[in-house]
Amino acid sequence: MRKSIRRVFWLYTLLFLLLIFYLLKITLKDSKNYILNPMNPRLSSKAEDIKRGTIYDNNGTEIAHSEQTENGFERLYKTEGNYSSVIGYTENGMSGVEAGYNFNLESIDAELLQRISAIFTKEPVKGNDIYLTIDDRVQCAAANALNGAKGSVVAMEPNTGRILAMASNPTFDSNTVVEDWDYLTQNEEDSPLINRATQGLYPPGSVFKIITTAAALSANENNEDFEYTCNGYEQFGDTVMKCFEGYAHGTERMENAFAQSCNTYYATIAEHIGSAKLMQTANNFGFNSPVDFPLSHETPRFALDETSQLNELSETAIGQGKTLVTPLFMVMIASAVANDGVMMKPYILDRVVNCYGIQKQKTIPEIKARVCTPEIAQKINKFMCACVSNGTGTGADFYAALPDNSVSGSSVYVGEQHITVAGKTGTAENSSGEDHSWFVCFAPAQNPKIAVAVLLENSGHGDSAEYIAADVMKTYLEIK
Amino acid sequence: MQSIFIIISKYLFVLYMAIFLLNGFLINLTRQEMADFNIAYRLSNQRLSIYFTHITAAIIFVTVNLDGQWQKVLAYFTASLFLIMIGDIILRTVYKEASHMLYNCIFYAVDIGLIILYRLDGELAIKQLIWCAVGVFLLVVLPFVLNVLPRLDRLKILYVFLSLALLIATLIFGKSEYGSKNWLNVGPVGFQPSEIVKILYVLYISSVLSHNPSLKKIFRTAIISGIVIICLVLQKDLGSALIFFMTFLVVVYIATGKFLYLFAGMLALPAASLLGYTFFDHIKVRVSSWLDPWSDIAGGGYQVTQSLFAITTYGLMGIGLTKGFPENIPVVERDFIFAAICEEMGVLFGIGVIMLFVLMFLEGVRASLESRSRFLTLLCAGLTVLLSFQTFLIIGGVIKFIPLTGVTLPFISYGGTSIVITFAIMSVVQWIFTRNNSYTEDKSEDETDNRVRLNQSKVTHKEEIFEDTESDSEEEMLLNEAIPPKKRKNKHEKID
Repeated sequence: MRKSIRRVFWLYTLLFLLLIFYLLKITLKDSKNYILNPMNPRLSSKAEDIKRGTIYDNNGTEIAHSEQTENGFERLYKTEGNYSSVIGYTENGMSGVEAGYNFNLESIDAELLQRISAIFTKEPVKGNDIYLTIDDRVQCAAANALNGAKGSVVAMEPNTGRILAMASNPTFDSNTVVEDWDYLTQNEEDSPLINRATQGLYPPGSVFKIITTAAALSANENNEDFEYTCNGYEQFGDTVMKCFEGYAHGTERMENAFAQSCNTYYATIAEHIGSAKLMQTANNFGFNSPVDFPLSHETPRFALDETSQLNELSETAIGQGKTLVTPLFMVMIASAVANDGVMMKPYILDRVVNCYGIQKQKTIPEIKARVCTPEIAQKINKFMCACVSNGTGTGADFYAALPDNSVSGSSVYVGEQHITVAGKTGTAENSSGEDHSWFVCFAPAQNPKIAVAVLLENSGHGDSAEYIAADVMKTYLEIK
Repeated sequence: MQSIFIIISKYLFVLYMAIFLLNGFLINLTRQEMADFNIAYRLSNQRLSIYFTHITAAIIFVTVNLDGQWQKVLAYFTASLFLIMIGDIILRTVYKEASHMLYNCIFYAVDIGLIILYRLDGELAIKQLIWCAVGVFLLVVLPFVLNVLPRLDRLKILYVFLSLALLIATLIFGKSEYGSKNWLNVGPVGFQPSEIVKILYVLYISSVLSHNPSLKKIFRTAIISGIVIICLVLQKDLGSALIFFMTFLVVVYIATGKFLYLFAGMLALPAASLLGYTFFDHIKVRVSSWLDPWSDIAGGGYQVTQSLFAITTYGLMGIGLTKGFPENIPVVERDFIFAAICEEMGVLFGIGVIMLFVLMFLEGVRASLESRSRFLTLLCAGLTVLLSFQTFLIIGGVIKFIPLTGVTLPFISYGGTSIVITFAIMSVVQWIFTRNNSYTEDKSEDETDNRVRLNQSKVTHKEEIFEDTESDSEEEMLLNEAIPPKKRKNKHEKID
């Protein structure tokens, strides 16, 4: 009897020890994965008596900082560079980086030490500072290139997932959000509070042909040589599909069809591979699953299944139909192609530094998914190069003044060097007005350092998106 | 200044807890060698830890002044400190033979509960304080009552009758509270019958199984347990059902020493769970929100995820009393109070609370090991197992170690019936301590004939006496009971 009691006691002690271990495990290890969940009410808490941390770009340019006034603290923002949509605001609720990293900005490191020294120095207790992955020069280039046009520019480093720039128009001024609040919330036509880069959902247009190409090549690698004669139009199910302005591309293979953005070619090849394959590839690329980005964002949508009709399939294959994407997602797709089929998880927070300058946290790039094989990615890369060199995306071709490597890294500029750009244009049909125009690209094509997605609302079928992308890439490649 | 004090207080709370536990475990490890004055010194260290915890918390609440009435805060903390100190002094004076460390554990747990409840809801905390006063009163009075009652192990029919009456009445007239129909109103008084049944049930099974636990008796208790458990499942009070089931298994195992029963029961548990999972939607919800609460974070997974946020966001040290956001956790005053403790006083302190319960149950185990009567051994072990499993269930559920079942955290969660019954259970354990120790004294005075001595002593109970060495098998033990007292003396000397 006593033996049994002792055994039961040890069993229970073991259970309680397990509880303790589990409690330590969730606190020290697992919690990193979920405390930043937006449902955690602790993230949005703001203390009145502490100085909120400063937000810097990657090189230490101040983007947002707090200053003490008679009545509390005032938050001041850098005005040039179209930062407001991405940085957000802290009055009347919170948004953008201010909301996403509120917990870091409000966390006080070495609180006891700070509080005690505050008694003597009268300096306010300060939250941690954050450094973004954004490069102020690239951001300003994007803002200037966009030049007030309605739309969005997102730039990303393909092999890490670092966001280099993120601009959105129409926008607002973070400094005067309270004063402008009524205007900002009532202006439904422009919705300036929406960050179009992450929250704007648009049909992808012909850019979606990247996905269709990947699906076709993964169904059968010889599909590259699939031949088709384009007459400018063709019947699919009960609808007639037309190429741009009814232009007949003639007999072509995949590379040419991609470069010329031939709709009927892609609708035909989609019919060959079937909707299940297209759906599987789209899901591999990350459609219909959360993007997992710390700022408010929308999930890219793809509405096709095995039961879809032929006309739906052909429309989806060329990026019309019910497919919806964000500019952020488009730059992720371009990056995945640039990065041999490996899609990196996008991130915008580079590091967290406490008030004594000690680094507390540093983001390590993470692979989000392997969306296609390296061979397929390289083929799409080649097609995208053709699109820029002799297809629909020639506007993105540019020369950049690069430091000559032969002078061992010194910044002696020896003429302008031609950069091979890989890109894809797109025109998204818009039922309520002029079409939206897309351009996604990366450069240099053989050793991609930057990927850019540009969306211009209601700009029709122009090539201004290509020039904007070229400006952003040029700026980045020149400072690199 | 106040912010600085709150930060320092986080470390102070952990320090107090560490001192309390260190002294407690030291007493337990070295009880044999330790001199009496040394034990007394360590016990007084523990008491100081409790008082300091209380005063530190009181300073925070008075300065932060949540409701804007610092006088009220001061009155509450003075009254609760008064209850703890005076109650402790009375108990120590009246029951010199009881475990004073167990009193310390109880009061520490109660005090932590009163502090965190005041943080969460001042009105509830005042009610809880009143219930605690009733509980302390029980601690003082119940052992007296138990001493004059006739033999407790003869009232089996009464226990069964009362238990079933209470449970069936709840099924018919009960009211729903937090999804379980486990609340009964009699006139103006509302209470949770399942709590009362806890004591009655353990009394019943330990009285049946204390004398020669044959298969027939086990079967009989199994049927009664089955009825009780089914009643609880029908009331959707799954936590209590599980607690009774585990208590039954463990008591049968202790009574028979046969591991087979425990093993068979453990096999029955998954089978029963599977059945429950298939037939009851609310079990399905509980299980799926345990497996993956994150996929339904706004719905079924809300409670557990909010609890996890509270526990882990501020790490090992917590954010400091009054600085956190425990009000976002659903039913935080009852089921999820442990999450609030971890959030504001830190996960380390939460671990301390778990250890405090281990220390508390260790005392219960000691009482049952020292008991010379099979009935009291079983009773004490049963009650201890019941409370410890309840503690495991709720803490495990709150930290998502196991699926959540809504039961109270003993002495800490808000709930009148729960508090009073937990105090009553501890009163019984302390009563068993006094019985054990008075017996030991008798023995040391005159070892010639224990049984006669015991019969002559003013104690009215005449439980069967048994002796039990470290290594004896069950046959030997049964044999012991049959051997006349004269012969058993030799055995006795061997133990002491």
